[in-house]
Amino acid sequence: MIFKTKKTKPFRSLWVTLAIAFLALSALVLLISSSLNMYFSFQTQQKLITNEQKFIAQNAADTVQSFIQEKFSTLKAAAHLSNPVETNQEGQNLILEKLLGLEPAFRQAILLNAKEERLAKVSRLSSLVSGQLTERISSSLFSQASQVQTYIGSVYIDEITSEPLVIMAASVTDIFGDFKGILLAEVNLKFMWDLVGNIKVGNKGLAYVVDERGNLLAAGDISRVLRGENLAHLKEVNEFVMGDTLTHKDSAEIVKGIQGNYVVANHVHLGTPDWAVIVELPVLEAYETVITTLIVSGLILLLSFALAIIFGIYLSKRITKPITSLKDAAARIGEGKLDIQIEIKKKDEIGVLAAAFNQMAHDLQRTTTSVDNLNWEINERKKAEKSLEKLNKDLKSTVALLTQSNRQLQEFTYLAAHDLKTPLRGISTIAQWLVDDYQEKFDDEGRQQINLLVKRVTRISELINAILQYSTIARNRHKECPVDLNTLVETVLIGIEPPPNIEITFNKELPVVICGEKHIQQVFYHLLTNAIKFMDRPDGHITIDYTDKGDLWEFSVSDNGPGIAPQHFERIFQLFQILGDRDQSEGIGMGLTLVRKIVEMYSGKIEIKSNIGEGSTFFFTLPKQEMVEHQTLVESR
Amino acid sequence: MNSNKKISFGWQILVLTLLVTGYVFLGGCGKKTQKTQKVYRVGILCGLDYIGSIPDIFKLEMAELGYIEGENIVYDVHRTNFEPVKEKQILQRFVEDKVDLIFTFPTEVSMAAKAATQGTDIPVMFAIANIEGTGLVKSVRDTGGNITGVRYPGPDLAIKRFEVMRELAPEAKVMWVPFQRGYPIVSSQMEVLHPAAEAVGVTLIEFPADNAAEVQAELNARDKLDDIGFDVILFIPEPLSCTDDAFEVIARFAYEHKIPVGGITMQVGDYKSLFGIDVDDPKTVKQAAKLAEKILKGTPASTIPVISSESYFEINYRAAQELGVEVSRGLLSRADKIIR
Repeated sequence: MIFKTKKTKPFRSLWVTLAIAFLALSALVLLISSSLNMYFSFQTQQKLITNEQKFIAQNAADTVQSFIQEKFSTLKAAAHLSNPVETNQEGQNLILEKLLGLEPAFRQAILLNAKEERLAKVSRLSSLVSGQLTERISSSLFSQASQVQTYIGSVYIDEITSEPLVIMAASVTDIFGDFKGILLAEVNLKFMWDLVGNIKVGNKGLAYVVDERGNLLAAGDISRVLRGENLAHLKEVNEFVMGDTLTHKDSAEIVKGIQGNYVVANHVHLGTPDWAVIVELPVLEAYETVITTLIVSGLILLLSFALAIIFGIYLSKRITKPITSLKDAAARIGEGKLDIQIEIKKKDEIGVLAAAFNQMAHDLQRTTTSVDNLNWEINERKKAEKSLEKLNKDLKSTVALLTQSNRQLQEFTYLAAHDLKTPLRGISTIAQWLVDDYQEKFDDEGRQQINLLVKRVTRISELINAILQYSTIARNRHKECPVDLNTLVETVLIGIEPPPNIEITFNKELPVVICGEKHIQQVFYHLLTNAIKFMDRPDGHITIDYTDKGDLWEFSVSDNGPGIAPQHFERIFQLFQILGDRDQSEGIGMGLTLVRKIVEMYSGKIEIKSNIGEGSTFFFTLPKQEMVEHQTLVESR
Repeated sequence: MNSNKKISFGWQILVLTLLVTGYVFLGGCGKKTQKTQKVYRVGILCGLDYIGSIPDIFKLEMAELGYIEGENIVYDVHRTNFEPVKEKQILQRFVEDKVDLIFTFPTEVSMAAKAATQGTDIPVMFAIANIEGTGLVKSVRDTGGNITGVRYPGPDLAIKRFEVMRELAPEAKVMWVPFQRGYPIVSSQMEVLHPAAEAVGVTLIEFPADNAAEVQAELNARDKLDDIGFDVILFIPEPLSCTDDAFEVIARFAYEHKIPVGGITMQVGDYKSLFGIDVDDPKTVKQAAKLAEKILKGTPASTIPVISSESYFEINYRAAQELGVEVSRGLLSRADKIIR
């Protein structure tokens, strides 16, 4: 199977196409206009030439005709003035001799009577060569000549000189007009040569005479006449020979002339004799005006074409320059150079196009900038996402590790606390046995030390219990259920048994919340215990309140106790942190730590507002609907 | 017939366009050619003093045709008077110089020119030369060589002179005919003259001579006789009678014996001929100039037919009266010129 590859056309600039189109159009218009101009000029000139040729040909014919008529006039005068037939021999000879003397073209003259008898003969030639005329006089000739007043025969050639001769005759009549004879003359047509040769036909034109057979009789070039040329092959002569006897032709034709060159020819038939005068004017001369017009037209055409080329190229470039600028600009935009602006101030379609292009470039630049930014942003985001993903992954891994560590730590803590509790309980028991059994045996210092030991062991036990409690908060699952906080708080207060100097009030009835009852109980327990424990006023007042904040509850426990310095706000929530002397303190610094852990375990927050000497308020929040999430969170921990 | 068909307008335009193109392109070449126009060299040899003015007439006629001596044509003119050896040398020099044209007259130098240029392409043009019986050309229309010219109708003129002489002296029975001995065209004339004379009962006495002295001796001898032996003296076309000294000798004898003498128009001192029938030299030279132009323009001489000179008839009426010869009115009527 043969696949034809599609040839791609080579690039051709628009200005070249435009220039070619312009040139083609210009050339077409110029050629058409020049052709029309030439055509009409030619037609006009041809008519002028025709008329001029007619005039010249007629003049030439008149010249030749006058030559013939002059000979006839001489013959007729000789025939009529002195009736030579009835004159004596001497008189007849004298008449003929006078005839020859009068007319150099007459070579010989013969007088015949009505009976065709020769009365006299006079010759310019010697008897040696004068016999040719006698031989040509026949009955036929006499018959023809006798029927007309004047007669001219066919041309014949002199055997010695090759000169054309013709017999002319005039009838001789008496005073009554009766036919008495014929006066014949042999006319040498060489005397017509100079006459014809001198006919002026333009500058280089010529005239010549041919007989009815196309034989050349007279011309400027006598050698051609002497050669006895027959010119019937020439178109103009041929027309005459073939019977075209039109005196004038409608149009001068371009034909081959007697000299082989192209001529404008015309002929005039003389009638009698049956000859024609041909006039020829070289085409270059005849059409000189046309040729000049042609040359000028040609030069103008060339000049116009040159101008058309120049203007075509100029205009094409001028027209396509903005388009080329647009193309170049488009190419540069294609290369990424979006800051291109085309300076075209034209107020036309190109100008509008350029403005639109500039706007497009501007928009494209802006769009491209946005896209770049967007791409950059996308890339950055992708990077961030990848980073985040990695971080998440790391975080998950870390969280998993932390969870695992935390779990291990919780388990360790639990186990450690649990495992320490047993020996500690033994130590406590032993210490208590010592106190109980050997108190008396100890001196005061011994007793004091043993009491301190019991006290420290008790404290260690409390610490271990606190650690166990802390560690089991997350471990122990409490069934979340609606908890009436009013009942719960009252239950807590019953367990605490606040002193009488402390008034505990509720600003309003507390809501029912969904949570682990033990957990919320511990929260209120530790907050109220701390408020009571650190109350230094005789009129202690503790207020329990809450605020509904949409999707969460914000509870508060306020007291008018000693207050806490702001620098201790964070510290008080830390494990085993105690403000003041540890040994003097009843607590172990675990309550608020547990409270915060429980609140945060329920996705809440705890904070403190306190002023020294004015009291403290602990705020903590609980989400209203956190049952499931809380459960999940608790499970995850 | 195709040739009768009118050439269409398109063809006419085409022909015209081609001609214009040729005109435009060749026009420039033509101008260049004109700048380097050839200077023609023409060798002229006049073999007879009697027609010694012909070179000057020829130059004038050529000038009329645009050939200006020294500008576009140069002439090498030599004149002899029946001097065959010198003529041959001159013609040989023409050939060696490779002149563009050799113009010779009358017959004998033309024949010598033809012989001298055999085998060369130098054209020869003659004038006043007799072609009958000389072998100068084959015929009027076909010259048969690189030669052409204006013929001198020698035999016809000889006969015509004889006929006119008979009209002037119808009683004459014996005509004395002197001529240059060995002159080539004489025999052809005598060949036609003798029958013509015999036909009318006239006897011709030929007298070939080399110079006037020889003629003088002959006439002196005849003068001593009771009968000089002839009734008229007839000059035929030949060079001897055209020389002044020979003519003077003959004419004086005729005047002394009151016998008609004629044939050529001559006058030496008081001695004149009765008539002359010859060619018209200016017209002949004019025709020769036209032929020369054609040859110089490149037309082969062989293709140019020989032109015939027209005869010219003069009667010296005073001489006729002096000699007691009656001239008829008819003869006077036919004369181209009457000298009174």
